[in-house]
Amino acid sequence: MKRILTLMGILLFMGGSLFGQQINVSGTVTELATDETMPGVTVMVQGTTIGTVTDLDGRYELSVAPDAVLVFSFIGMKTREVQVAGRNVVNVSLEPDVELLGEVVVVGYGSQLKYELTGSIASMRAEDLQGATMPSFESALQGRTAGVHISGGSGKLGQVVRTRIRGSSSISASNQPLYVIDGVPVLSQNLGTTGNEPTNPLADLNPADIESIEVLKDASAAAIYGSRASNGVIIVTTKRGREGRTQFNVSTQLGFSDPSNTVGYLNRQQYIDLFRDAYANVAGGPNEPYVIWDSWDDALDWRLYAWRDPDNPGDVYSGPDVNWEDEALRRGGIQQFDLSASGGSESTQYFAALSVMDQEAIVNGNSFDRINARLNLDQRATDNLSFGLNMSMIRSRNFRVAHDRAFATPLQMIALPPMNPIIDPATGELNRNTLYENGLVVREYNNFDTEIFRNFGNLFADLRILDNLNFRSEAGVDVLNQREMEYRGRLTNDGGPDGFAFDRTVTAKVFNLENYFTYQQQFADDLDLNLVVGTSLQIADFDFASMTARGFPNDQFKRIASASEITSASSSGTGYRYISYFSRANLKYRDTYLLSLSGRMDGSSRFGRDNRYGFFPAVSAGYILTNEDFLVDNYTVSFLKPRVSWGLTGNSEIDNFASRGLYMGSNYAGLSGMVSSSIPSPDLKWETTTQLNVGIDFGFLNNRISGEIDYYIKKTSDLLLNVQIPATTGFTTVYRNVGDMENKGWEFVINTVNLDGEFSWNTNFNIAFNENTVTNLDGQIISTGIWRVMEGYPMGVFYTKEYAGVDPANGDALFYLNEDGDETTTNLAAAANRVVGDPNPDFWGGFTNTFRYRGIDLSIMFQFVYGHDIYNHGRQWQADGFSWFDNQVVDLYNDHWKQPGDETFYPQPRFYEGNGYGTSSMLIFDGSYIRLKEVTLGYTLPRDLVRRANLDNVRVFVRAYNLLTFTDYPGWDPETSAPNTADIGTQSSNIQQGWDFYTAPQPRTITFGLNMGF
Amino acid sequence: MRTQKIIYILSLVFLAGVFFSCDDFLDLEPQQAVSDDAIYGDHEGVINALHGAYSLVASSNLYAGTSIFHSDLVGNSGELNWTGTFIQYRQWNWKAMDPNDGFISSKWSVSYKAIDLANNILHSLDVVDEGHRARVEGEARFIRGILYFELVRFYGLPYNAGANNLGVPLILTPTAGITDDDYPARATVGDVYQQVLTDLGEARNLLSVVPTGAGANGGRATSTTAAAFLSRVHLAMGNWQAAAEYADEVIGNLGGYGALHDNIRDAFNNDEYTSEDVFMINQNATSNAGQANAGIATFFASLDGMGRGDVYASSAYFEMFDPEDHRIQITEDPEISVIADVPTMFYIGIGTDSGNEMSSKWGKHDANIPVIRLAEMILTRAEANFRNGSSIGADPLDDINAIRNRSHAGDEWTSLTLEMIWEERFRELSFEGHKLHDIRRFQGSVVAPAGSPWVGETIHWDDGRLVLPIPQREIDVNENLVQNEAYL
Repeated sequence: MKRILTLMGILLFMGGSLFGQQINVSGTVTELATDETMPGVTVMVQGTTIGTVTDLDGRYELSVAPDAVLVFSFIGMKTREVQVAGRNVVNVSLEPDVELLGEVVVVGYGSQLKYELTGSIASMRAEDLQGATMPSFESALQGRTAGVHISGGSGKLGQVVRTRIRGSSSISASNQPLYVIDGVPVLSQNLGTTGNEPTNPLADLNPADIESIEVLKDASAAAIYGSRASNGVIIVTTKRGREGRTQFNVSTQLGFSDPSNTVGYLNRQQYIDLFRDAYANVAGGPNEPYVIWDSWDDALDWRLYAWRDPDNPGDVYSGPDVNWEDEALRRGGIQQFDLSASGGSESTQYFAALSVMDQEAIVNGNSFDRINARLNLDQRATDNLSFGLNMSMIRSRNFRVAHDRAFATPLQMIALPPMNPIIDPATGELNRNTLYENGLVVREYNNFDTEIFRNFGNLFADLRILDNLNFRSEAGVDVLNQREMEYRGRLTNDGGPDGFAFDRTVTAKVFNLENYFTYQQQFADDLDLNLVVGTSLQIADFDFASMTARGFPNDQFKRIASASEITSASSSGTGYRYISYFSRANLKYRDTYLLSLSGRMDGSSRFGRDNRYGFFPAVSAGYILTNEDFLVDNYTVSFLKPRVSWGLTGNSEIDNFASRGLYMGSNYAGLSGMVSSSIPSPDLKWETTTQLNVGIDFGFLNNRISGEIDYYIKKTSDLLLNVQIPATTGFTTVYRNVGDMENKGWEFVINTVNLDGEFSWNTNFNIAFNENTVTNLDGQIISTGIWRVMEGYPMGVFYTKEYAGVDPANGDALFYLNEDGDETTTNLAAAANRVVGDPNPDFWGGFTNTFRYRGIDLSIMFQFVYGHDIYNHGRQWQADGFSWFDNQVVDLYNDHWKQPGDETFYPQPRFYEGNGYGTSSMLIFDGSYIRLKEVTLGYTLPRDLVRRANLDNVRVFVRAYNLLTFTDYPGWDPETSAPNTADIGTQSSNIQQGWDFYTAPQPRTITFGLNMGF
Repeated sequence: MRTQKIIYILSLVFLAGVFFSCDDFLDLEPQQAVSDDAIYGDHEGVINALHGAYSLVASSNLYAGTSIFHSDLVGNSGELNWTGTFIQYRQWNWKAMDPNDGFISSKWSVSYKAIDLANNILHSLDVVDEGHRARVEGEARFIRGILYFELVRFYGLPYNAGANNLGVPLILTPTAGITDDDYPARATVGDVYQQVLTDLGEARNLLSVVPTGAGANGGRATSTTAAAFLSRVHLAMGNWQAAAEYADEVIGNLGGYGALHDNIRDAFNNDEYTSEDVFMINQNATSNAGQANAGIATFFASLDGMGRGDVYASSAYFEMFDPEDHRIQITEDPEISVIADVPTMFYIGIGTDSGNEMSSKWGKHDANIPVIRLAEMILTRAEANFRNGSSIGADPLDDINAIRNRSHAGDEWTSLTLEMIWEERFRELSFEGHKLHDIRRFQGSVVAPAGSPWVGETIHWDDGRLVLPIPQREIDVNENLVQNEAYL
């Protein structure tokens, strides 16, 4: 298809033809970097319609005039013009087009040449995803796509990835983009139980199957998805077969991962020294009585089991000394194997792939595996009809651990004092008498397995009604079957005394039907029209069933059949529907002036009856200056296209029945009953975002320097707000369309070719600035924990007491008393709340350098985020100066007040009473970081060598993720997203950004890979 | 021509899809919820709402949890220890509550949700089958009455500190859409108490249609339970005569001293009503306040896989008893596993935070929760009679001795003082949520413990710091609400 378009494009530029003496010319087309032959390259005689296409071995043959000029072109490669000059053999090598302006990008309901785009779209190609080992593909967008802010979950696998395109545009509705895979909007929301962190259904797609990812950022690009496009749209296109012999590709990877950071907690000696001081500070001396304790070590005897050395109980420094951080985190591993076959005949093409992946997380107890099979098929049935199939079958399994806020989560082990032995000296078994539950006991006896069987795919048909009128129909399904099985052993706190099991199934079915006409017409030689008109409907149904039970004969029996008591059983269902009508017209005048108009009408079951339909128009225009006579073929200014777009998009990602007044079942010890759950809001409608985008695409010095600059203003109005109302009504919130929010920012992308030729060096730099402001909330204040949404501030600022540091005279923690001013108090409760931080970044981006020399390739990617604050909630206990017995961070040990005059960050530790214990800005830190995200070093074996082994190509590579991180953030990882059990699309998850609560760091992963084609 | 036929058929199929649309397509009904207009349209719906209201009364923020130990923690002067990690509960014990405390706002919002259900039920009585109408009205008024009593005594100053102090907003009509009327101001303590008396009085009359006695009416409200709450309310108001009369009515309906268990331990951790229970929260395996982060046994128990062991008695507690008193006998046995293995009122914890003296009163997360026991009514009758100088039903001395004798608390008393009655109430009813309310009635005080911003300070019964703050979210949302003085 793409090839045909190119061919047509080339044909259009052609004038008459040449006659005269002919000679035969033949040759082979190869790729410069790899020396591989290139099938499918178009070879045209300049100024004629004579041409051919290279065969499977990259060969061509033509009969031409001796002085003819041959034009070699191929998608993604620089077009070359070569003088025949009487030769009979003309061998040519092509190199990649550095700017890829001739590249075709997928837009909603069609594709477009990139240089003709008038909207703002970021794309990523297959090669960037090659060998990707992150479970979920959208992580790969990090640092590579301007304006897309990705924060990976944590060191736990298969977690939801927080994706923000040009900032957050909603408070109560989802801020995650819409994901469309091969034309089907797929499930991307959490389907896991509310008892654990949200899962990521996108982890079911194998990154190796992906041909391209397009991120539709501005309104003109996204508005074709109407009511679901406010957060941007991410379009994923999977690989397809091409005509030719079957090409097999085998790739395998093996690697290991370690925590990218450790924090450091007190060892035995440090703990004892600090604890004794903390006790003495409140008791008046280490051996003075206090509350119920006689002395400092009496308090330890009272609370810490077996902390003394049995052989030498008098020597407090001798005895168990456990580094619990090392027990919680570990070395993980990765294995991945991919096999694909693609090829086909003139009428049938296929791409078939199988992938097996197995990862062990750095978090003790967590692992993830996945098997994917895919078949993409294209069949030309007649000259006018072709149809095809994309089908993917997946099984993924996530062996999970408890959520970050549960005592049973592995990272909470760091709260245990180093003197708590791992093994109970009395029993020889794992110690069950630790300060808090011993995570190793949980690890041993509990499991939480999530298994997903998923099938996504679609069936499509293209019917050519007239030469320039096409009809396409796509029927897509996304069926997801998820099974969660949890067992908590008899010896664990949550499972005792006789075992606990939880079993849940989710069946999600999304059916999607799209039908559209595409009409192409050229008027008066220089006006091109491309028109799309169509409809879409989507039906989504969800069924849930779950059961919990207690009372198992022993831990060998984990299924509910063996339980003595069913403690709960439930089944439920929900769903939503959309019906839409859309149209888009792209106009091009003289190849220079571009105009695009689009509109979509969407209806959704989620809204009040009177407000069911919304209309979302967009308009954009571009001007390719370099196609004007005065700039055409200018070497210095090789490409220049200013563009502007404006449009409306919607957001409807709220509860399925948010507009209704509802009652839910609630029983009273066997009596069935109902309680009210929501108050009606019959006027509820879409949240609307207006976005204005002004940008310029440029290329200088024959596109050696190219890039894009964009400025946008995104205004969201009629926010779907979960408005707070007095609880005296019996309800605490009601959904209403209230308030406005604004995002504005700049995006810069610069690509340079620094060195060309045998040794090549390319650089990509992208950076995005975004400023988010809640402009109007109709007087509402929305607060969740320490996060607040307030007019005039960015979303979810930290609003709490401000820590004023330590009183050098006495070591007291001081807090600012009033909303402004410098007056301080030691009474945390009396201090006023202030805005003390902002979890939204000021700017973020990536910096990638790629080097090639003969067969060697090296790519180095840095990724950075600046200006976001993080609430290190865990430090409330990890650095509380022994308000209880929790182990403390080494930072506090090194930097706390000891004597008058000391100027320290942490106050004097005070056992039991605490000193500044509680929530304040003491727990808020700058999270800015720059990270060496990815380094890949590859070597493609010389062709002669691999030919001898009957192979087409062989590449070996080593790849490292998260190799280095530069940050002042004192926690595990500055790239933290809310470790919250709330679904990613909900208000609390939207607001609670930058929350670090015993959250595991990202892994530092190193993999070794081998890739073979034959 | 075959090709053209295929094209023709396929086009038809696809075009059918193109124009497939109608408005019904978007009419999707929820599967586990019903629209509010359907609920109050018939008898069954109203009954469902009534049961729903009970399920809220039984939530962990009300009678199955914080209503009980809230009072005991705020009223604690060191006789019990709180060592859990929940900062909120620690703050209660410190008498330094936080207006942002989620438990304090939940108590408020759950109470008003149940009150709204009750208001809706009372508004929809005409669709209730005639034979059930009086009972349904009585139960709805009972729920509204006890919840306003609960709200006013936690969020307002005590009645005996002045009836004109601010109480809580009085909402007596169902919510229908949000208007300016839904931003109410606080009624006075006196007004709220009057409403409580009206509701409970009506409930007592209306519920005469159902049998009385322990566990009648499916363990829900009866005229006896309404009378028991009336006796509590009058006691708090200082209406001694009325308090004694209602208590006497309850004692009579349950069968007098004979209904007391021989062993007080039998009054707790039961799955059914027993002879001593006036009003209980019914719980079972699938319907209970929880056992991980909520529910009363969660905090009080330290057993095998049950409880966090957060609240336990201190040595000061045991010093208030005769050593032989059955109410302080302790089982120390590492072999115990569940509360049924514990024959005494205390045991040495064997689960989380083991080794402390744990009360046996709350040892099973899905057992019923006694809210009012016969023993309380007997003690109330004694106190009210003593203060009133009367002997309604019995002589105060006989009542007190009946309670003491059953637990072998020492020699029979021959004379009484008010102080002795108070102390006996403490011994009998500790950990059952009476502490704070008794301190207020007896005009006592508490001492702030270590860790409190006012450590060591004596805080008197009418001090604002013993009153819960109005939840900050309510203050933020409703400008007509005034915060309690101690939190300004």
